Amino acid sequence: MTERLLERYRMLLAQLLFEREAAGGDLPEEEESRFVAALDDVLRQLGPSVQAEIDRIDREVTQVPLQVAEDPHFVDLAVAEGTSVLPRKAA
Amino acid sequence: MFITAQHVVSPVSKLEGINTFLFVHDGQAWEHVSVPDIPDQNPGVLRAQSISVMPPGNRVRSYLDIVAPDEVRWDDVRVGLAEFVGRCSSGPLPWAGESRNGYLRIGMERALSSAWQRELAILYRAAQVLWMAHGR
Repeated sequence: MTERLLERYRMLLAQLLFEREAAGGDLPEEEESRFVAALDDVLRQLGPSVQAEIDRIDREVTQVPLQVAEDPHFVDLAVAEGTSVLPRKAA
Repeated sequence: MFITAQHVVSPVSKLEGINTFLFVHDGQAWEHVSVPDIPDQNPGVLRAQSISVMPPGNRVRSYLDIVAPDEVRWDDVRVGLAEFVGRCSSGPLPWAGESRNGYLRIGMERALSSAWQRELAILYRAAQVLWMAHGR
């Protein structure tokens, strides 16, 4: 149960941070409040005993670079309107 | 609908920018297409593009592929992408998988991963701009 809630917390936080960036830095208050309420709900269910885990998740989501298993290895293509080709190919 | 935003860099000029492409699937019923196959095998017909760095031959530093029904509401794309990011972000890039209304793929160079949310947001906004101008 705790692991599931911690994962939910991490997912919500990652979603919120992406939504903020996608909105240019600030979400509408209603959207921000919705995320805050959802995060608060998870924290209430978790309780204070997992604060260290919460802090770890906060650091990982906000500060740790995302792992990349494989760099893209593509070069782009010129595609004419009306045609049907993915505009990149393996380098 | 298949829309892809690619952060590219010219090997000659070193100029960087975002190129975005919008493909549509007129006449193809959504329930009859193989959604994961769309980008590589059935991208659709290119309806519009926005080019910052002239192809071909530029290195692709990051990409965001969005597959959804032609008539999708953009708000649903945004929510689906945010949920996808939340779900995938505990694992390494590249990511590929279903979203609430289609299919998504995201890839990025390691050099960009320290600011991955900003990079992804830039790709997303480029896709959004093209969709708003030329989508249904």
